[in-house]
Amino acid sequence: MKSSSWQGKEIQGMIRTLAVNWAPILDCSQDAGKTAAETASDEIVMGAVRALCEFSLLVSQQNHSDLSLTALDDALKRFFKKNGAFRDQNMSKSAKAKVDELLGRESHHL
Amino acid sequence: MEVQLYGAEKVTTSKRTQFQVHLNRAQQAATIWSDADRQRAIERLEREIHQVRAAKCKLFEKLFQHHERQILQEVRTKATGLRSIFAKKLAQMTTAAGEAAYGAVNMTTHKRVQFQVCLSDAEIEATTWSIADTDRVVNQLGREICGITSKDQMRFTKEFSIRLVEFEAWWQAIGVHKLQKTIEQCVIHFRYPKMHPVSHKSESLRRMGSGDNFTTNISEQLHIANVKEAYRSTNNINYIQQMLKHNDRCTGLDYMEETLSYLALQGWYDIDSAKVFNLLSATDTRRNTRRAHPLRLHNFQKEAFFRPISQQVHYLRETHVCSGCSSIKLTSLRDASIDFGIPNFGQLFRTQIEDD
Repeated sequence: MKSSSWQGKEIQGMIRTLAVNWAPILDCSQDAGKTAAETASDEIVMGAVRALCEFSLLVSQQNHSDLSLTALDDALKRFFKKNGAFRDQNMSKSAKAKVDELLGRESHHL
Repeated sequence: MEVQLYGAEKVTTSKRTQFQVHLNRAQQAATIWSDADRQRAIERLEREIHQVRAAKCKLFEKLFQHHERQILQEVRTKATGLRSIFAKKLAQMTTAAGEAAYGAVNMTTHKRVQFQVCLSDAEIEATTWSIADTDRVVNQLGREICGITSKDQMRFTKEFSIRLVEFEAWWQAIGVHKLQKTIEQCVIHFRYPKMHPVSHKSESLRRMGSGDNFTTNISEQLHIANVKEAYRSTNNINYIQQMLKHNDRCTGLDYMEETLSYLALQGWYDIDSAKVFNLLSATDTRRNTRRAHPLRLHNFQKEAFFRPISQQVHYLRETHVCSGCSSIKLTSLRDASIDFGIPNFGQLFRTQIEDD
């Protein structure tokens, strides 16, 4: 999806279709060529997406109870726990160079 | 490892450079789809699919040229663009000539589609550079430039894969993977200010209640309709009053529209409101378009075609507009009785008001 601007409306639309679009893309059962690590990573990504959607849905409710607020906290915790799966996508060239440099320096001690 | 297996004299720097240049050239040459290649593919597919032979081809050319000359004489100075009548006639004529020359059985729509599909497949096949191609060319260049036999190359590949697995195992054993992960976690993190506020959301909801209408959607939308459009409609002088008037009128029109839509649903409507509220069927909507208007006039149908989907129960009366008129001058009852020549005008007026 290409969009020139990302305002609240676009993000709202994206959240609505996020889980539905990602689930078939990451469906590991259809692809026989995937390694176990890739399948595990896909499951983590899907878990993070689900947690984010749940959080978005719960936070926009007009009424809240202890139950809903506990679910909100739980969804947020799950998202923060699993968002490390997006690290590769977030890695810029400079960050990668920095990681390589540090790895080269630290690996001598091993 | 290459030096160890093949020998230093076979893998010198100059030979490596030469090898790389040749590999790039081979890849470029293999992925080019020139006009000559296209023409060759077309000829081959025509032979296979449309059963085109040299004699038939000549016949087609003859027929085509004859028809084209005729059409050009007809058209002369008229437009000959892609969407012109000339182009359409030319396409029809090509089809007809093709059918006449090659036979209708060989020029069916199915075969034409098959031809296009096969042509695109041929193009994809010719411009694709697969791993097998790379292996083949690398082996060939290795033999030609470096003088390495296929047997040696296979031995090298086998040895290399074994060493790679061993290296991976060693890399994991000394804990580099774990170290890399730790470094990545430190360098690439998600501790942005934008990510942090959401962690306070639950606490905010507990303290201040639900964030009802917490989005800016409504205010942003109203800013466009009530402010931006209203300002554009003014003459930029004394604009606040003009904007307020504009908003007032818009509200009035919205109320009118709501009322008319309610009445239309109840069966009260006329032709204009039926058009506005989409009460016409799809066929009738097409018949009432601007393009259909000249055709209607041509067929002497002056009235618009009107047949709503839902049954019309009531007819709306013509509206009576009541508003102040600047041309009317105020006058007293006495002056009016003199002007109209009615002596007891004041008395009659009072009686009428009392009766009403």
